[in-house]
Amino acid sequence: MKAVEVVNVSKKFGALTALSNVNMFVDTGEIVGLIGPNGAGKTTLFNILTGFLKADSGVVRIFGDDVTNLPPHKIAQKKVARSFQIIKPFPSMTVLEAVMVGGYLNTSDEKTARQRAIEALKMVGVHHLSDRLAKELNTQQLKLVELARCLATQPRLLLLDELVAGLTPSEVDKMSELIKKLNKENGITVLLVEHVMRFVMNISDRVVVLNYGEVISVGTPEEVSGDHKVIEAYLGTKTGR
Amino acid sequence: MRRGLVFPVTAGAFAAVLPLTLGLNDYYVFLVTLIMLYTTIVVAWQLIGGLGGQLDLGAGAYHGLGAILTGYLMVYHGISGWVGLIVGGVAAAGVAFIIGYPSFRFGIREVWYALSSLALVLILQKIFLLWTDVAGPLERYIPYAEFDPIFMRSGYKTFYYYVTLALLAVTFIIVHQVRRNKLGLYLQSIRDNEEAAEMLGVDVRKYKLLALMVYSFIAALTGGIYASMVGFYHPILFDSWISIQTVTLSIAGGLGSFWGPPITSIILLTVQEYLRITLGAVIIGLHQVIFGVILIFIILFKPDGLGPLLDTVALRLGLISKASKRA
Repeated sequence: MKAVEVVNVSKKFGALTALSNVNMFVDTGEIVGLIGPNGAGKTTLFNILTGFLKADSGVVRIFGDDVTNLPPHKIAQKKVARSFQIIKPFPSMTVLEAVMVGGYLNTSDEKTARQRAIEALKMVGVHHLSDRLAKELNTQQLKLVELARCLATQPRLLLLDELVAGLTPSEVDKMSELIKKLNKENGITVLLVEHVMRFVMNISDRVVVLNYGEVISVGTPEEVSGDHKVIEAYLGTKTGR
Repeated sequence: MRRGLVFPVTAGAFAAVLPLTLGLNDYYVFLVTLIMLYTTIVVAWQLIGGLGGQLDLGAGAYHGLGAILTGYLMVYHGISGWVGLIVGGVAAAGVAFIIGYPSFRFGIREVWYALSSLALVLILQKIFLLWTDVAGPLERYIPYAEFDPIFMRSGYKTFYYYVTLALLAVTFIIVHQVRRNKLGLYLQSIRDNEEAAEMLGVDVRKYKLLALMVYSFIAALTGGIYASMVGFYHPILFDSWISIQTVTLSIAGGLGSFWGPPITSIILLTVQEYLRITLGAVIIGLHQVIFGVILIFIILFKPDGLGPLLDTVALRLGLISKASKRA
C-alpha cells in the first residue's frame, strides 16, 4: 500500500505557482527524501500534506484515505506526525509534559499518555531530560524532543521538515542512525524535506526532486545525483551544499 | 493530610468563619462577598486565559448576562434565582459559543480576539438598554424577602457570602482538575504553540471553545448572585471594567500560576475597596488611579506576576507541596 499518494496537486499564492501538477508517492516502509533548491515548493507540499494549506486542485491520499484539505488534527488521527522546519517547542512545559501532548492522541487516560511519552523519550534517547523546561535545552535536544513528541502519537508515517538543519556533522550522523532505526525496527514510513545532502543521500531509499513547483526527477540517491536535470536545476546553481 | 491540601483547607476554614469575625456586619460581609465574586471570575478566567492563552475580555458580558437574566426571571416571572443562575449560565455559554466559534474558526487571535470579546460587553449592554421588555434604561428591583433561600433572595448578606464561597470553591476544584488532565495540557499546548499542538492531534478550536464556555458559564453565575445581592439589575452591569480587572489581576498574579491570580486578586481588590471607602468620596476615581499605579509597579518589578513569588513563599512555609508549585 502507498503511505502517501499525491495526485496532480497544484497550489498558487497569487501569481506565484508554488506547486504545479505534482505527482509523487511514498510506499509503506520507505524512507523518501524530498529535495530541491530554495523556493522549490517542498515545505508547501508538506503543508498541504498536513492540512496547514489547502490545495487548489488535486488529491492527497494517506494510507489509502483521501485526506485532501482535512485540518491538521484530523490528519494526525491518520497516524501521521510532522516536525517543523523552525522548531515549535512548548516553552512553558517540561519535556515530559510536552511529549505527553502527543501521547494523549486518541486517549484521555493520563497513565497511557505518560507511558507513551516515556517510551518515545527513551526511543530518541532524551529520557534524562524529562523534567527540564524547553527553554533550558539546546538545538539538538529541542529537535530530539520534537521528534519524541511526534513518536508519542504512535505514527505510521513521519514527515520531517529539515530535521537536521543547524546540527553539527556528528549530530547529523546520530540522527541518521536514529531515523534508520525507527524505520527498520518500528516500521515507520518516513518522508523528509532536507537540504543537508550528507543526511538525505545517506538514509533515503528514493529521492524526489522538486524545482519551481514541479517534480523533475525521481530515483535512488545515485540516480538522482547523476541526473543532468537535477545538476542543472539544483547542484549546478550552487544553491545546494 | 497531604501537604498540598494544607493551604486550601486552612484558607477554606478561615473563609467559613470570616463572617462571624466581621460580626455579621452586612456592609463588610457585602464587600468581602464582592471580592470573592470577582476572584471567582479571575479563577475561571485561568481556563481560557491562563491555560488557553486567549486574552479574553468578555468577562463583563457574561457577568452582565447572568445578572440580567437571573434578575429578569425573579422580577417578571417569580422564578427562583437558582433557576435563573442556570438559565444565565447556559445563555452565557451559548453566547460564548456564537462568538467563539467564528473567532476560532477564522483564527482570530491575540489583540483582535481581545478587542472583539471586549466589544461583546458593549454590544450586549446596548441590546439590553433597548430591549425594554427585559431590561431597558430603568433599574428593575427584585422583590425584597428577608430570608428566602429557595427563591435565592436574602436581606442578610451572609447568605450570599456562603453561596459565593461555595461557587469559588467549586471553581477552584474545576480549574485544579482541568490543570491535571488532558484538557489542561492541551490548553497549555495551544497557548505555547498552536500549530505544533494541532499537528499532535489537538482540535484547537474545540478545546478553546470548551474552555471559553465553562468560563463564561461561571462568570454568568457570579452575575446572577451579584444581581440578587444588590437587589436590582440594569444594563450597566455589562461592565467592561470587570473584563479589564479580571485580565489585569490575572497578569499581575502570574499567567499560568494556580495560586498567584486568586491571591493577588484578593489582596488587590481588598486594597481597592479600602481605598474606595477612604478616598472614593474625597476625589472621585482616585482609588482607581492608585490601583493602577500599584499594578504598574507589579508589572515593572515582577513582570512574571506575583505568582512565582507567592509560590516560593508558600513553599518555604510548607503550605504547598513542590508538585503543586509548578505551573
